[in-house]
Amino acid sequence: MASYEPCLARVLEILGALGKAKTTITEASDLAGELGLSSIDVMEVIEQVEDEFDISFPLNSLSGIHTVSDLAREITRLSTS
Amino acid sequence: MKLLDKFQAMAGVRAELDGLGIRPFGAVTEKILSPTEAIVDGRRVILAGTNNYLGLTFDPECIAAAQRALAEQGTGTTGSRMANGTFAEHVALERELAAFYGRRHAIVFSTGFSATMGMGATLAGSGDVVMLDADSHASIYDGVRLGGAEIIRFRHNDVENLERKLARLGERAANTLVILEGLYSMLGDIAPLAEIAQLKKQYDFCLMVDEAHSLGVLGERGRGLAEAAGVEEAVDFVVGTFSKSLGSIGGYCVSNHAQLEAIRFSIRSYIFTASPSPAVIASTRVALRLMQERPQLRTRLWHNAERLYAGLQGLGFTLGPQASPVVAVRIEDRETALRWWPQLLEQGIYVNLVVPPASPSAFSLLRCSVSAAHSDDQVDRIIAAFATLRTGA
Repeated sequence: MASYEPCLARVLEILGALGKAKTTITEASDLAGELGLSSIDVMEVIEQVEDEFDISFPLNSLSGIHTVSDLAREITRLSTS
Repeated sequence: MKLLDKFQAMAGVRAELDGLGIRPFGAVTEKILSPTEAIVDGRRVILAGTNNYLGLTFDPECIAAAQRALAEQGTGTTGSRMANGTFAEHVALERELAAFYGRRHAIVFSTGFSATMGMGATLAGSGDVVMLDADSHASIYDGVRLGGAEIIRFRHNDVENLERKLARLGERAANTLVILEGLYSMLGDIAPLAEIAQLKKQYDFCLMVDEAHSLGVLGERGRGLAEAAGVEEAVDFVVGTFSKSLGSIGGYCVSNHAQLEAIRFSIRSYIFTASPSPAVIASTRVALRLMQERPQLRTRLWHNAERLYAGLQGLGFTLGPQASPVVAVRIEDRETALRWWPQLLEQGIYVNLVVPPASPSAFSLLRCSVSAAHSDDQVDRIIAAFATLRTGA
């Protein structure tokens, strides 16, 4: 079970490690547009968070996830449900 | 952003390829000469990217049956299986498929895509869960999205990852449809089906296997991976296609579940489309019989697969994890793949170019597939052409 802040911190770390972003990654950064993540990159990130937070991430949720914050909130929701 | 703006990126890819003077996606076969040779973009080539695994597309018996059906039954059924589109031959093919698989029920679809999409969309609905292998075909992804179930993917061929996700579901595992493929079309690797079938005992899920690329390829009788792995009883639904080993077009689902007959009347991709034309059904029926009568085709196919895999491996290329009729050369950067594809074509070798996001990772692929109809000399010419990519000759 995790709260939003540690989820966000970990998502920022994972995205930073991907090395794709040419700008500073923030809570409001858009995953596809601003950070240039491909669908394959997004799935890589999701696989990592699934392992770390012991959650299964439904693909149905992806359509509502645009920003770093959206992703962190969904992880928080899944890890507390 | 306007409605059509999202296609700008794809238009850019098209323009890039046009600038390079290559047409890897939609190369025109101007004349098909045999199961293994054609004139493509003005050049005589060996076809090494067709999925024509048993080489039956020019079999005289298949052609004669199709011609007879065309003359006797016309060019098309002009209707759905649910209306006027069920001819006696559709029913006969369903009976023959059920007998071939040793299962009680079979449904014939108009395409393989509509079979996998339709079954995925219909079996699991709201409140259910679908667990699918990450490298699943687009038809599986599209189908399960339509169905409205919760969709969770597990890492490709990773039994441990699947089990961890099943365990998280708790009682919902019994409401879960697990979907995987027998032989994966991009890398040619085979699912760990025996281990996954073992998990059924603990989690009681429903299992659907897409044998599109493994029908006629795996198993003593060519039934696919479930037969080869000795776990046919554990597979609830087998789906597949006629457009690979059987050399025509269409799809199917077979099962022992009596509910398949009720499911038939719920599948939108079965109901709201015209049924396969008589000529297609006729050649498919003959090909299904020939596949069973000629196990030597499978032996020859695997001989060619192993010859090509060993040859390309010997040249130092990075390939899929195991020899199979799909031999994929993995290339780290897209630019090299775009440069090599036309070089192969110039040397008379047609293969499939696969670039992200169509490839299962960030790598690009030069995907070869062999046929039982390839000669040793043709396989050696494919290998020789790849050798020049290494040497720059």
